[in-house]
Amino acid sequence: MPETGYTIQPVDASNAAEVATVFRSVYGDGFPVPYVYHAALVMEEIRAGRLAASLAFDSKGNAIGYVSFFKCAPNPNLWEGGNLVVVPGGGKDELGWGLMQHYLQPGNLPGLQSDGIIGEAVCHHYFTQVGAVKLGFQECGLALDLLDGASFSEHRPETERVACVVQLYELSDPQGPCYLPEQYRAFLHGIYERLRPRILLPGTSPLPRHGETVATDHWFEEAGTWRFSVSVIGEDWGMFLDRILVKSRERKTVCLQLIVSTALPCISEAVAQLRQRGFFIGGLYPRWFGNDGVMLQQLFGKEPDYDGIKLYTGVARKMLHDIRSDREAVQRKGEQE
Amino acid sequence: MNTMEKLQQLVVKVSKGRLSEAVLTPEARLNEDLGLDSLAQSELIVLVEDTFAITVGLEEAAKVTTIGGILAFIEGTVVS
Repeated sequence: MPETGYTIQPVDASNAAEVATVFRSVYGDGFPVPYVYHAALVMEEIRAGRLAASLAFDSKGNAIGYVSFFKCAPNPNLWEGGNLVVVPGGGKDELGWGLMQHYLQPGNLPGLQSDGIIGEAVCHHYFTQVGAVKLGFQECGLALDLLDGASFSEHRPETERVACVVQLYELSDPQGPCYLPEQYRAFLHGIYERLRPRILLPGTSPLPRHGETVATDHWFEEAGTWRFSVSVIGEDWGMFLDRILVKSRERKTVCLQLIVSTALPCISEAVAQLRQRGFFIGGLYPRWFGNDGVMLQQLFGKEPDYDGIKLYTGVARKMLHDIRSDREAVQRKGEQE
Repeated sequence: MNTMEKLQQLVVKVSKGRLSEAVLTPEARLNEDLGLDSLAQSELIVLVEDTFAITVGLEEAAKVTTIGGILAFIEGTVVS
């Protein structure tokens, strides 16, 4: 791309050391993903198929930007796009937009089959939201208070915590039915209208009377955020939830997320138990398990700073309104009981 | 208020009052002269779209780098 004054190249063994240079220019040694500072670890991630990354170079060969895809979900065919960094003073103001566009160029996603690219766009500025929406990503959820504002050394937010809009660029047709929780049927239908067609069914089966709940979890220590991906619900569902709520308080969790698979026909009863325990809707994590996931969230810190959440589209603003209403309804119900 | 004056108001708002309308000439470059980084520029896009009821594509966002360029884009888009 000679007209832009920069080139974007895949990260490989010959240039992997430059990744650290780019991150240090913005974050010093404080970026919370350790592998970016070690060329050998970057290459290990790439060889293991967990990372596909690109660097931008100026005409003198200086590394001036970075963007990557990485694995984030139980579905190995879903990639998260992110960790976009532009070196300050690189003189290429348009590079940020260029790196975002790079996401969607054919051949940049590794592997033959990709179900999509998911992103979590921070809401203390518009840049990522604007770029992603204009590239065709669809807004599917809103994770409140997901990140710690103090962790941003660059572009520090005015709010203590930072919400993120969940966005998806879907690349394959989903298979199998999606069972929807009755409590959020209308909310989720609004999101599904903007995704590829699916078979949507009411998830009104009773909770199972046998078996154990199966979930994977990820603790984001710097953020105080704990995320569970629930693929199977067993007879122990209620006890499972009680256990993680106790543990969440013990480890001073600020934001707790449960993403429940829509392959589970008992999802309405499962969601009812979540709501009884103070969880409220966060949105859809499409293709999270191959099929979709419905995310419910609970916050243990202060009341979210709703006015500080910057949202680009009317779709996202409506989503925030509905999520806030649901949180307040769950709280009211809890107070009455 | 004409289009240029409205645009100047938006840029002043995005700069949080750091810039005055006097420096917002058509030749002024958003980044090099006015110090508006990509985050500030994205906020400007949001305001321009809302104020003038137009859509700014990613290509225009990357290509248009001066106040005059934005003005021409708005006037061209609104007229067309």
